[in-house]
Amino acid sequence: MVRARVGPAPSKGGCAPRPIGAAAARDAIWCSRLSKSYGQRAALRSVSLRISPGEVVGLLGPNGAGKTTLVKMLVGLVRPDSGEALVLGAPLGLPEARREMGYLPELFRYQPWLNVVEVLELHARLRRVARADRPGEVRRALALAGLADRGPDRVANLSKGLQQRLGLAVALLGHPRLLLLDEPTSALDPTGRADVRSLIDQCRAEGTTVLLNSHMLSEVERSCDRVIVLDKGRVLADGPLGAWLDHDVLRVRLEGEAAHFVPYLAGFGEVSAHGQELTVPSLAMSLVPEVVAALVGAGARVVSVEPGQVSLEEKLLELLARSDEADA
Amino acid sequence: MTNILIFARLTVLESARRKVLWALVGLAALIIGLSFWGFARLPAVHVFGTQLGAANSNLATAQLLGFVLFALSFVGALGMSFVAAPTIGGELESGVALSLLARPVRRSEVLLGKWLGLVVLAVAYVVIVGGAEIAAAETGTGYLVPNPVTAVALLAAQSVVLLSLALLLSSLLSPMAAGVVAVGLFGTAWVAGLVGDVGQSLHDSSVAEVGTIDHLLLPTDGLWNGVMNALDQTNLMSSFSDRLVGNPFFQTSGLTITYLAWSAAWLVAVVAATHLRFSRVEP
Repeated sequence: MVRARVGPAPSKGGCAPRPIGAAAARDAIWCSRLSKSYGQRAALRSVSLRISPGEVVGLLGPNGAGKTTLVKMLVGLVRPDSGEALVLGAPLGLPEARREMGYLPELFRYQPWLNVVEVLELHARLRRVARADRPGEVRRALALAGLADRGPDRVANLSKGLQQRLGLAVALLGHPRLLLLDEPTSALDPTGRADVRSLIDQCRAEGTTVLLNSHMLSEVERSCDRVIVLDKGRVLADGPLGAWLDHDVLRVRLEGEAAHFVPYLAGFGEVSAHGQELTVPSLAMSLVPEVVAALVGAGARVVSVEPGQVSLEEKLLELLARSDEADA
Repeated sequence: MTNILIFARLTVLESARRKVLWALVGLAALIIGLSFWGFARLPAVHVFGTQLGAANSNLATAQLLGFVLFALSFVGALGMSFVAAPTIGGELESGVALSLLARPVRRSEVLLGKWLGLVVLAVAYVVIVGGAEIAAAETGTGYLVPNPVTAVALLAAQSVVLLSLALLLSSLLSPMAAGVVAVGLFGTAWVAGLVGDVGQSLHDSSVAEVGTIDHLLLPTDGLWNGVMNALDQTNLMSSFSDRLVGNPFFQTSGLTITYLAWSAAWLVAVVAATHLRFSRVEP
């Protein structure tokens, strides 16, 4: 059986010990070949990544890709079957790795018999916030999460959205150096989502490292510097968001299913179809009339033609489609 | 140590906020009130037109006290089982554990804190309620319990054994199943103890061994026998013991040091097993 090494102990088995470098210890998150299986199903397969201090990173992928397993592993809730990692310079799973970490779980539940302030005081004590600083720290977290007037309310009486705000307040207690947010806006209204974006901006300004696991691609697009895509437990892509999205495209909206007309645009690059829309990549504006003519010639009824940039959703779907094709 | 105390306090606070404590105290007050009324009337009871003598009155009081303490311990056992049963499983199932375990705490600190909180609750319940019941018997009838401190201490030990078992079950089963199984095992152990006592009275060694094995596997009934022994007056027992062998509410022999050591070792093993299980759980 492969045993997980959760610390920087040298590897066994004939090879010379491979010490984890000082650079890895300086990273906010450093993972090497983390794997995890539940029975026959592999949740993570040899995931390696580095996140530098102060980066705001989006973690994307379809349901079951292993995102939440990875986040829980970084928090120390789930043990890897193999691989090694450092979180804020401390070996994965040790309390030291959680000392300056804030975590909002996907399933945010707090003691329903406590009130909001009591939950925060409990976490402030566990976070080792000095007794004298606790009241101020609790007030700061309440204000950041938009719960300033909810302190005396019992958790049981809070709506789901307010409970998620409480989760954010808990995560933000004590100025964490690393913030792990697992679907932080799943229960929030548009105002709440905007508040979370501002919070992330504020964290970025303060130099806090943020790992944002979200299906809300618009949030990731607006907030993150870098994106890591997981699929079937593997890192499918990892790169700066700007490099991904900095591509001009032409969007052509048709009447009816667009996929049928993709072959007619074979000469214009890798054209993709989503519903009634065709996306033609990196096209010079002078060629737009030719694209329209080709489509009309093929019998398509063109509703609109507009230049734009590739969206994160398009990029993600393209990556996942390629991954599926490769697997097939 | 600080984290252990934080979780212990949280456990006690939860019981108070969820009104479990008050429910236990209310039920206990009802039992104590009714039994005090009964004890106070006992000396005036006439049998076939004759008032009970001191020896018979003491015998009746000792037996009644045994019954009432058993009822109180059963209420306590039920209460502690249902408080302890969701302690780990409930928080894992609901997701409350996620944010707590993400803090710089060790799982052993979480477990020991919860265990300590439950022990404080159980011991406080037994000391207050058991002490009040013994005081009610002594005040109502004049019967002096020979070893009240030992009786209450063993009653508390019985509760601690049961809540530790419930905590172990909580790390293995769903909260509801853990509570049901804990109470079921408590009842089964008591019945098995009775069977062993009957075996002793019939001088059937194989049936008597059922009780011995039961006392080793789950020490609740063994400790209960110690409680009963501590409640009985020695001179009272010497005059009635031949007829009372096999009666689960009268014990002529106290617990041995070896058995108490076994019970302590059993407790340590169960808490260690709970830690082993809890440290491997992936919420």
